Amino acid sequence: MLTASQPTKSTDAGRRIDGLDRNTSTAQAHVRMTNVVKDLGCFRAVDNVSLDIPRGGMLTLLGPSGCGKSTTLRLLAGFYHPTEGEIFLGDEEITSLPPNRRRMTMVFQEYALFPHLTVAANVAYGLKMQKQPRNRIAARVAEMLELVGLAGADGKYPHQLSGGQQQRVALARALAINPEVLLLDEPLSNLDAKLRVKLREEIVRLQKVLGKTMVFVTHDQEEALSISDQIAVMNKGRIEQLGSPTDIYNRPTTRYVAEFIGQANFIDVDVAGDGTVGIGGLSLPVKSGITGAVTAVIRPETVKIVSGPVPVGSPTIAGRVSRRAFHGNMMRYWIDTDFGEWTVDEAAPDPRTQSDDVKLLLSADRLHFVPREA
Amino acid sequence: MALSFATTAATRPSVERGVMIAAMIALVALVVFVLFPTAKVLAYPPLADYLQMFKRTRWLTAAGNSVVITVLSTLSATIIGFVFAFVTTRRDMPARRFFNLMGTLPLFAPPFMVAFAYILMFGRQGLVTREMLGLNINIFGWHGLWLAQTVAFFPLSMTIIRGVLQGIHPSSEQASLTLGATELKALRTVTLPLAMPGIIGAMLVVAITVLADFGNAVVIAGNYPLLATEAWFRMEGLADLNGAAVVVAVLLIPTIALFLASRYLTSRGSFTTVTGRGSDMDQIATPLGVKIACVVLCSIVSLLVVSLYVGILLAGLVNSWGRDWSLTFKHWGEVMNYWPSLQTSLLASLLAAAVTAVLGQILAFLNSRSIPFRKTLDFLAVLPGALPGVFVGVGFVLAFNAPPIQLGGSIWIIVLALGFWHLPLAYQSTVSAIGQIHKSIEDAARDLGASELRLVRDVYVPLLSRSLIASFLQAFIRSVSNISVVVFLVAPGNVVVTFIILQMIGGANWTGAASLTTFLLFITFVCVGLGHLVAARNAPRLRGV
Repeated sequence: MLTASQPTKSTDAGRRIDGLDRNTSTAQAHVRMTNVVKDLGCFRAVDNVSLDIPRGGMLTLLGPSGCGKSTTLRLLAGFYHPTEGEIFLGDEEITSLPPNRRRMTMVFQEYALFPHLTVAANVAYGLKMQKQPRNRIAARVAEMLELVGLAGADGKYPHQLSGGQQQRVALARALAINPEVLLLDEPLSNLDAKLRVKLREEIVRLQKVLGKTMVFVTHDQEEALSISDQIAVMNKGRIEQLGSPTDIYNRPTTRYVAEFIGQANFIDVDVAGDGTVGIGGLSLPVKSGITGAVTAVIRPETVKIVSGPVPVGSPTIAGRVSRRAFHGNMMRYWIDTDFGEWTVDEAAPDPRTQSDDVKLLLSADRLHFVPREA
Repeated sequence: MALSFATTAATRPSVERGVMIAAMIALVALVVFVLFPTAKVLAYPPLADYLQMFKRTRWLTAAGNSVVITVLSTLSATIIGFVFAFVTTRRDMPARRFFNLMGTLPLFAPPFMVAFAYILMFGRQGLVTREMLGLNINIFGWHGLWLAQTVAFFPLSMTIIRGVLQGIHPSSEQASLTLGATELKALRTVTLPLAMPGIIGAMLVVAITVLADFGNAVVIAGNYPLLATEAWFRMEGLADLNGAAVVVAVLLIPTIALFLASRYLTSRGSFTTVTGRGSDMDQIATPLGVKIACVVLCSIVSLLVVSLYVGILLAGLVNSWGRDWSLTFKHWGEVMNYWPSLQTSLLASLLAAAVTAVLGQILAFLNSRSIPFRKTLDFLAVLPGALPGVFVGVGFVLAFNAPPIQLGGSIWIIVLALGFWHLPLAYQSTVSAIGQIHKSIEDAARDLGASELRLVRDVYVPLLSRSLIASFLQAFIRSVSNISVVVFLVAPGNVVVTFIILQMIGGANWTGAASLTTFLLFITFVCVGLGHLVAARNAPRLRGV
């Protein structure tokens, strides 16, 4: 819990760069929040958050509703001003700047298009505020609508468009004024599942093409894992963990993160004096150097179900299949074990009957430990 | 077992006989008490009398004055209403609850009270103008009327515009800000255009009300002729029925036009019904200059609202207004001298409210059935909303003072006139309440074998009891304080208290008029309190329907 609540990101896990991850942590911070606190009434919505967002990076604020992620985004946008702490854009301190002078633009969950204006007038709105010449505005509007695949829709009104199209217009409108940073507040939550995936791919494409720094708020962990360079998992106004998607998934620093991202099974153990733990009848070394009371995090896809003899030298626990669900590409089993009900996924499903007594083979390499919570 | 009537379209579900009979009765009642008096007014004067309209300078002046005062009062009431709506919907405005209360209070004032109170406060004997400031001001005339109507009717526009402002999602304003607009620009380029349909709608409603306003005009307009009051002067002074009919018929033309425009606007809907409202927290900050301007304006208007109630209450409690300011309860005691009129008022209003509420419910229910003449019923049920009170008054005099239906001089003419005139208020609120009842509830009841009658008894009556009580109380308040209709209908046998108040004001018996008005206010606030009680008690049970 102690390491988790530390606002300064990158623990040891964060510094180990995975082959899959872009090395973003060494770039100079484009947006920086230092020890930001925000009280809404008597409720502390954001509690000592510090963040470095690298230039051209996509950072996702992820967490359940009420965790402070939207408030954090609104602090960046300038709709709220921090109770404590500072916010920088590049070298400039912007903590108390109003939203209209921040060179950051926000895209809203409910699109927030101006219903009394046409698509073209919506996209042109920010340019008009900048008092740009009319021909420049027209050219920019056309360019932006082209970019989001809505060329020709300029004369329509928002209510004549589908939800997906409306959000594209909102993106075009936000990008038209060429902001330094684009803030996205659950932009896909009001769309249906298929469209959500499609539009998020497009946002990633835009981000790469334009090289924009983006901060994306979502409660959808799958969305966060698939689009982000970095994810900040938030809980009760604090950043619980900041890291690359693979870090967050494979090396969560707390049980909360492990539970919130994907499925996980847990075994509470104590690290012995020689730096080993006893799991599944074996004594295994703990690599990360963690000591004391810990919880092992075991992802469902790292567990193998074995009905016959067990290979020697692998940690194994016994269980009994209680339920199963067919997921198309895999079979999910719920298995009663000594450590509670486990979830295990099997990629090439091999149906077995419910009362099957099985052995669960754990992968020693992929065991991960987090400090045990009280 | 149910005998279904053949309907025109084969796809319509059959209508049971009981429903059909109820519909026929409702239709007959509406034709007799809405359509017949209306037609009677229009057909009563011969063409030659209608042409008089263009010849008599007094009538032309009255028409012109009506237009002028309607434009003035509508503009001022709408602007003030907008500012109040804006102030009471912004999170960062100081004293917003207080201003909300101030914007609601004039709604409870009987229709002549604002003008009366301002004569007391700002007239020749005015507490403020003479006693405090030592001025000698003549408040009678267009300026006094303008002031009275502005204060009396800005709450109407406030209510309407508030609804529209609350429907604007705060993220629209936020989006404007993140795109580089200042707060002031955001309000001008986003909030104001989005509120525009509401502002126009409010203007239409206020204009209809101002045009038909009799109570304030008769009290404070003095020698400023207006169409609404001219009808009464024709009848009262000259017993000129033809003239009265011509004047109210002319008054009907712009009223109907405004009414239709307002209906068209509502049916077209507005921009703002996109998604649910966001949290207040997301409202952008109101610029300081705007804040100050709004608060100053609202404070001044609030003073006028407060002075309205202070004037009436105080005038009932002083020995003699303008001469002897010592306090006394004797005028309050004298209220009981008018018990027969009070009794008539209360009884007639109870009955009228019952007619309004019950008929409104029945018509609203029928509106949800597939009855062949449904559209006709709907039209007749909303039509009274377009008729000025003086028109209804003249209509009932012309229609029911002679056989075949002779009601003149009885309380029944008042009951029916008010009962049917207030019908739209009960009808429309119940129609929207029925709209809230999910179709699946009715389908479920039917599926379980309920007949139409059982459906009404088991589904509609319990679910609509709240709107029934609410519209009853509202109709009662309006009936008991009505003046524009009853002024034409009173006779020695059915004198109501508002008529007596009007006579007292005319005879400068201000303390008497004020104590009777205080009594009316007391009744009004008791009813409002009752309404809140009922609403609060019924609310949790019906939540989630």
